[in-house]
Amino acid sequence: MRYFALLRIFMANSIQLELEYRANLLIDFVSSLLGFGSGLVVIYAMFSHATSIGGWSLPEAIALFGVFMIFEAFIEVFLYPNLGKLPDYVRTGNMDFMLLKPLSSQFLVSFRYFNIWRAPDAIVGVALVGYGMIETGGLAPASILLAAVMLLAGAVTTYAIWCMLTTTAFWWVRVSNVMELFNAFFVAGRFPITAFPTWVRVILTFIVPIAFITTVPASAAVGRLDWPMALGSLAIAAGFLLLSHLFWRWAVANYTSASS
Amino acid sequence: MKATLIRRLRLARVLFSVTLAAFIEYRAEVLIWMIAGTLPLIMMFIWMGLAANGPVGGYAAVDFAAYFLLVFIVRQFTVCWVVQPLSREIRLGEMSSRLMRPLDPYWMYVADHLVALLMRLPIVPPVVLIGLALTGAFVKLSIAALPLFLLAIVGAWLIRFNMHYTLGLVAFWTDQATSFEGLLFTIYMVFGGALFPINLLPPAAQEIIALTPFSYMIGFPVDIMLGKLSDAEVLRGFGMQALWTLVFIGTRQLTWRHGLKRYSAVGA
Repeated sequence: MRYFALLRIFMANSIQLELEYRANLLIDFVSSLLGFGSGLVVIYAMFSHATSIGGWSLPEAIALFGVFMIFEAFIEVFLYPNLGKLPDYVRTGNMDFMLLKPLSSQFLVSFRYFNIWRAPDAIVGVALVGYGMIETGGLAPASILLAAVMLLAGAVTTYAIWCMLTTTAFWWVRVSNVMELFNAFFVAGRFPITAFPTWVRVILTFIVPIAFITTVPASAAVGRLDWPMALGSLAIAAGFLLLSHLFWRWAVANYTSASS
Repeated sequence: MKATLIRRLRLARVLFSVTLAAFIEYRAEVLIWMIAGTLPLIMMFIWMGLAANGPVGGYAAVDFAAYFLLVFIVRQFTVCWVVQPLSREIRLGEMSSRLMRPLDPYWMYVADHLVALLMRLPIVPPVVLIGLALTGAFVKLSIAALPLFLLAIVGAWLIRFNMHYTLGLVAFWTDQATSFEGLLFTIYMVFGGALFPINLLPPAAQEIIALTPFSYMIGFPVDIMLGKLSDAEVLRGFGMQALWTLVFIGTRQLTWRHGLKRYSAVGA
């Protein structure tokens, strides 16, 4: 529970910090708008020439894009401001101070900063999911709950993948590109997994589980989810989280600081 | 005259060998670039799937395959990451040590990007050849246009690099340069045609996009290689590339000169 108290302090502190740089506000707002706009343009380009993508109708595809936006916001608000700094901690030796604190170092590196200005993306995303749910007639407490659980599982999986990718900074200091790696696969999450050829589907389900991150929560929202995928999503989230923790512990155990 | 030329050539050689040595240290990055550049391939799968039961907006599945494989090539040859290191060096004052060297830092970044391009070169042909073989899209390429295609890639690189370099120099005034880069990238991907061929949009939108630099950074070279453009359109495209290159080289020099004054004034 000490961790929850700390989380609150970190969040308050981040908001204070962010308020100092109010210029960010406008830029973040514009980039939210652009991301939203470009996503809709792509959907528009597709549906002005076709009636479905991989068997998904327009409202379903919009709900999926909403889920995608929620995760983009999650990455921008939580993951990037924290894990994105890890390579610098290692390069400059600041990592030493993280390890000295009487806290889980993984927690401290993961949840210290929040870029709240990207949070509106998540609200837009939720609105798009809501629109998709209404249009497909799936707006009901049960499906909302299921979608929320699947979103949470997806968030845990996303965090774990990011954490593992950035942990490689302990060995490869020039790791900024590693985050690009995740993005390369993540962009596939704008589209239903069924729109890809089988072999790509296998990669996006079992190797880089993008399917569980975006397609599964969107399926839950529009009433297309089957139980194997739902349970698979929970299992993958738990498995990846454990893996990321073990990897982190191993990396820290092998950490020899910047000067040595 | 001859002496300065020799000096320049020696500088260039030193610059390249130093940069190359630095890159060979980071071989793992080459693998990462390879995977990070796959967005055009993802879009290829999606559009090929949409066109599986008949052409979409005049593009059959095989047309999409050819289009996005070419987009992949153009993107691989015009990757540009100059904004981040440049703005960081300006912000943290690391630019000072660069200024001590007998060469505009611009050329060091150019060398950096060209060497990276060389390192990236080996990964492009296998991906493209396998893609062309699997999709049968080879017949859609007009091989005679290859020299013009390569020239248009050079033009695309020049626009992109100078545009980004100018953006990086904005760091003399604000620490937001990298956020602007994100905005620029989104517009570039849509207007450039990396997500879908611009031809799928209504004609009015196409005309507006054709005025921006972005359509000459991806879509124009690709359309040349697909043999979609008339001679007049090719000529006009190269004209626009030249125009935008000059615009961005001009703004870069202007920004650099004014920024440098500011830099020394801050005393960083």
